[in-house]
Amino acid sequence: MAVTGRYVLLVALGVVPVVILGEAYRQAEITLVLWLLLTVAVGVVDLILAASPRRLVVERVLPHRVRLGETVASEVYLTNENGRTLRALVRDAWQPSAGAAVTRQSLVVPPSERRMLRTALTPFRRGDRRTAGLTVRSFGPLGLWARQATLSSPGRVRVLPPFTSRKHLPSRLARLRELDGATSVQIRGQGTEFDSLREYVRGDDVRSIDWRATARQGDARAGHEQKLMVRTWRPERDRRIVIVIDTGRTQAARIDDEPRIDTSIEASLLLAALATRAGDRVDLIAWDRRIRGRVTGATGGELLNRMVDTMATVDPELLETDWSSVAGQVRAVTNQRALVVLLTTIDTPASSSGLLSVLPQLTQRHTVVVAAVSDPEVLKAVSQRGDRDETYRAASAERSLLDMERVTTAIRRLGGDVVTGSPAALPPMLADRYLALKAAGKL
Amino acid sequence: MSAPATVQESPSRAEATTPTLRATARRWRFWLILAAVAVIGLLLVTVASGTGTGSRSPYSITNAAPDGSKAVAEVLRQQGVDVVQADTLPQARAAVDAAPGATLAFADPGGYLTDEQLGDAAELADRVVLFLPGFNELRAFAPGVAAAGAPRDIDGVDAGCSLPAAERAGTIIGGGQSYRAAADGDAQLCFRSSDDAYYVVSTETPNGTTTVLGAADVLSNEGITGAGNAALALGLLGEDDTLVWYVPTADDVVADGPADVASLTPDWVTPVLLLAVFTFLAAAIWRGRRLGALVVENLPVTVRSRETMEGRARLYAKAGAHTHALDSLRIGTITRLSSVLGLPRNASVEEVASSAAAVLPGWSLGDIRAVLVDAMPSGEGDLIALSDRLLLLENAVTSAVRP
Repeated sequence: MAVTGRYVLLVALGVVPVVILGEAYRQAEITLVLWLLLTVAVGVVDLILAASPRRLVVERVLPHRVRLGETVASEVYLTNENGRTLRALVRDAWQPSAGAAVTRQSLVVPPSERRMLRTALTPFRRGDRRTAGLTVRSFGPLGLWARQATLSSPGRVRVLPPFTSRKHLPSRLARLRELDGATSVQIRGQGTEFDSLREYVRGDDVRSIDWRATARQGDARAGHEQKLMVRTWRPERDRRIVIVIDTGRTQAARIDDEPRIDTSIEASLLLAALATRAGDRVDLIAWDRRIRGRVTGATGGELLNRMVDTMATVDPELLETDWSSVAGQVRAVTNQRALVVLLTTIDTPASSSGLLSVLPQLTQRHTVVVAAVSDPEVLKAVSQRGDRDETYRAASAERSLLDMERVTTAIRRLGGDVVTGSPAALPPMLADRYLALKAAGKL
Repeated sequence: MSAPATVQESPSRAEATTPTLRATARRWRFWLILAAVAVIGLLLVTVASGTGTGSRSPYSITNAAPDGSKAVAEVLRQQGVDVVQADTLPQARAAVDAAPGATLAFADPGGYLTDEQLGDAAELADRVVLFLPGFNELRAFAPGVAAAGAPRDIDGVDAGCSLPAAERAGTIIGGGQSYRAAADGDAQLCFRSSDDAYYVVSTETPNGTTTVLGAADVLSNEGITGAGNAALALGLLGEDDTLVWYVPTADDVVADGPADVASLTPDWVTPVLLLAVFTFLAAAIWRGRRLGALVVENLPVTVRSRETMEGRARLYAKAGAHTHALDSLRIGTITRLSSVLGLPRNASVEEVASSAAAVLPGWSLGDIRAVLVDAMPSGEGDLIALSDRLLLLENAVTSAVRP
């Protein structure tokens, strides 16, 4: 039950009869009591005449998923099963970060008819955004008192990582095609594998003629024309890539108003999109002290689909990442040699000791790339030395860079590779490093 | 990826999570019943004990407490005496006027009446019974009688006089006040307490007969059953058909200040104020009623990554660690210089300094060494100057090597 501003006004209007009758007949007290009783009686009548908010059929039409930053329409259809017209104020209880443009709307639904409520949602946070239900406040014909009920109608929109780094994908794919060679390369070497045998055409490198295949192919004595066969090579395919996203506490830090984990997700998506086009198999593990998300055995479009779906709901935990089990997790994914990409934080030697202790186990079997977000503010602070405070800040920034440098050196010494960059730069840098490794045949 | 895959629910009536009025009542049934039982029980107890209504003041005929006088009045009524209660002087006058020849029972334990009002009260009736009068009442009603203090021994006093009511009563018990009459008067003195002090003094005044009753227990509900107390009370008060029982109240007090606010404002002011209160309540309900419950959302922690750096900078500044700070700056510059100059990572400071001097004709080796290693800062001014020179050196080397 609720009252409206109109009812408050009605109560306040009692001042007129109270003053007039109080002046004329000295009956102010009785008038007051009668007026209050009258307003309550009118309110009760209004309440009885209001359509029941419980006799509604609610249908919700919602997109399953939306990328962060995009706008979707949430539609709710309300069917009035009352015998009376429903005049209502309806609130769809979306979570604040679902970014609903309007949360409450007025609505008039005649008996046995259906009306739609449309709400534009622009979520500003990754993950599952939910609404518990609709609250309907149904006013009586006089608009004095209202009936109110909350109807259970759960809805959920999964807000996916934005994957803004996909703008880098076309240029990297072009580079990949260069590598791949629409004209398959004929030079054998590291990073290539046997593709096919074909007839020699003029212009082919004579060094790539496969004499054994030529001999098998034809017999000049049988009258066949002798054909020269050449071997063709193509870049290695079906390599394994294991991406490990650290979801520990250090990933919660914001750089350029973006949590480190979001940058990690962006980088992993670009790498996965690129690698799956290149024919490599990508697996993903989100890990802190247990597996927060895992994508294995998917390829092509499905891989990206599953990756964004898995990572959509992963938030950094306030835990120290347990690096000692990471090697085991990677082994659980693949026994083959693989490119292991660790998306984490490089901060100080002390906080990276866990990572450093597990690296030898990984580098023994796999190629390891450690990718970390660096803070451009720190780099900027180094050269700002205007006054005393800024000088001290520059010294502190130098110290941070020095710490990072020491960790980087340690990782390189243990056989790993390091990629660091600002949030905007890290995803393309990681993709470039992947392409470089692929070109060098180090996968 | 964000293809508009839709959720289509089967059209059935939505389940309401807000409980209905009936469900709420059912849920709270136990407490509602308990509250009802408690209220009804309280009412029953109040009614049964009779303490809920009636005055709390002594001598009031609506007071059923031990020091009230309800019992006397009720018994008098049963005996056919019309007991009229008067709370103010006008009421008492009206009651006496309505029944001429009535007896007036008067007590003013609160001392509400002025001398003038007491004089008026004294002229009301021919027969007056005073209950434990004080000095002012005695002066107005019975000038020939004076108070004689509270006697110590008050058990079983004989009448010892010819007053019919006292003779019938025989003996009374209980405490109270005693009185004495002026020596030359013809007062009847009954129930002697000491030498010349008596519990009951009956005297003729210009207004009629005035009986002063000093035994408090004769009238009180508690003490009326003792010895001849009841007989004395009935005898004194039940002589006429009508008894006007006048115990002054606060309403008798005459206001003598300036006129109060209530008499100057119109009648409707208080109701309008009340209406404002009700309007406020309605507005509070209007604005306070929420449209559904609050929505709960778990928000992630927000950590700024620069916090460690800023914290360390403040720590340096607070501790005045200018040597330490300069070390950090120098190591950073030397590291960058060695990479700019194409030196190996493990190049020593001397190598870096001599390589820098080689590309910078304007700088002497000593200068460069001083900036990079040798100069010891003695204060924060030195720190800032050296840090500026470090930047200058770095820029000079960079522009010299990579023009």
